[in-house]
Amino acid sequence: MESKIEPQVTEARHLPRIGEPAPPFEAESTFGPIRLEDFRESWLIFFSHPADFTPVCTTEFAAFAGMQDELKEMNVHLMGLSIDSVMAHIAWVRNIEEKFGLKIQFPVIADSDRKVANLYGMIMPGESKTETARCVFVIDPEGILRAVIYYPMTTGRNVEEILRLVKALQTTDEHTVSTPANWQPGNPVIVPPPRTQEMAEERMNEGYDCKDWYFCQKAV
Amino acid sequence: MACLPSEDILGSAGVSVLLTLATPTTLDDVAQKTGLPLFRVRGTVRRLMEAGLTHQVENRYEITSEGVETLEKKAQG
Repeated sequence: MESKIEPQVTEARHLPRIGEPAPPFEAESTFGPIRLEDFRESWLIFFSHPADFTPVCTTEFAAFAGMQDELKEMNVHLMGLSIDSVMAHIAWVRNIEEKFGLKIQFPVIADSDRKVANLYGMIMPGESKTETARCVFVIDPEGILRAVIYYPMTTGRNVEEILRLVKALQTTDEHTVSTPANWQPGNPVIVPPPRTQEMAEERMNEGYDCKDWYFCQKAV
Repeated sequence: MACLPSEDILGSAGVSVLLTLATPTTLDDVAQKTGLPLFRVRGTVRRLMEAGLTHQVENRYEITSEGVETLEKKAQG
């Protein structure tokens, strides 16, 4: 018997990667039509949530709203996204203000056609074929994607960690350093390791706090 | 998609942006004068331009006669 083998076609999609320009888009939002490029010269925390009027997402929005003032001081904006409509978003952010006393001062994209969600790989088909997962994209003032975090639907994000991440990235840019595990602002930072043997020999005498030639820290 | 068309693009942000554009003004200056974040100014000015209420003069933006009329109508309610 002749068996018919159907070729399987898998769509290869290039998802955004750290260090690459964040893919541009224009979308409807609670602030009207919005483009990614509108945020240039600022940092952007671009995040998706599964659905409006759901409890975990509400706690996340409340948590993000609670750090709006600090983010403003840091030249960081927030932008949310889900597949709900603008009308649903408006109703939900008004409800959050009414029930939690927190005004959502950032735009929320209504990605009903999942154009942006697909562009950024926000849908995890193993978990839900329609709703967006809890994704976070940190985009720098030049429009470069600097960090990506994915959380499952069941687990609310730690916004303090996201804030810490952005502070770490800003510190890296300002001082050309790296930040160690569990770094918090005010903690010592990692000095880039020497690239040559000569520099390695000099490193121990450069006034840094060194465990060894490759592991030196300094205050910033 | 909404079941009714939405034609009013002049929310409070649109009005405050238009009011700053009596003379050619940069987007940074609009942000400073209105207190709106720059990303909102960019989006708002783009919509105002698409509606013919402002136009661009090099890197500055200025209200059009249509923009003035729209503001007057808005003020009259």
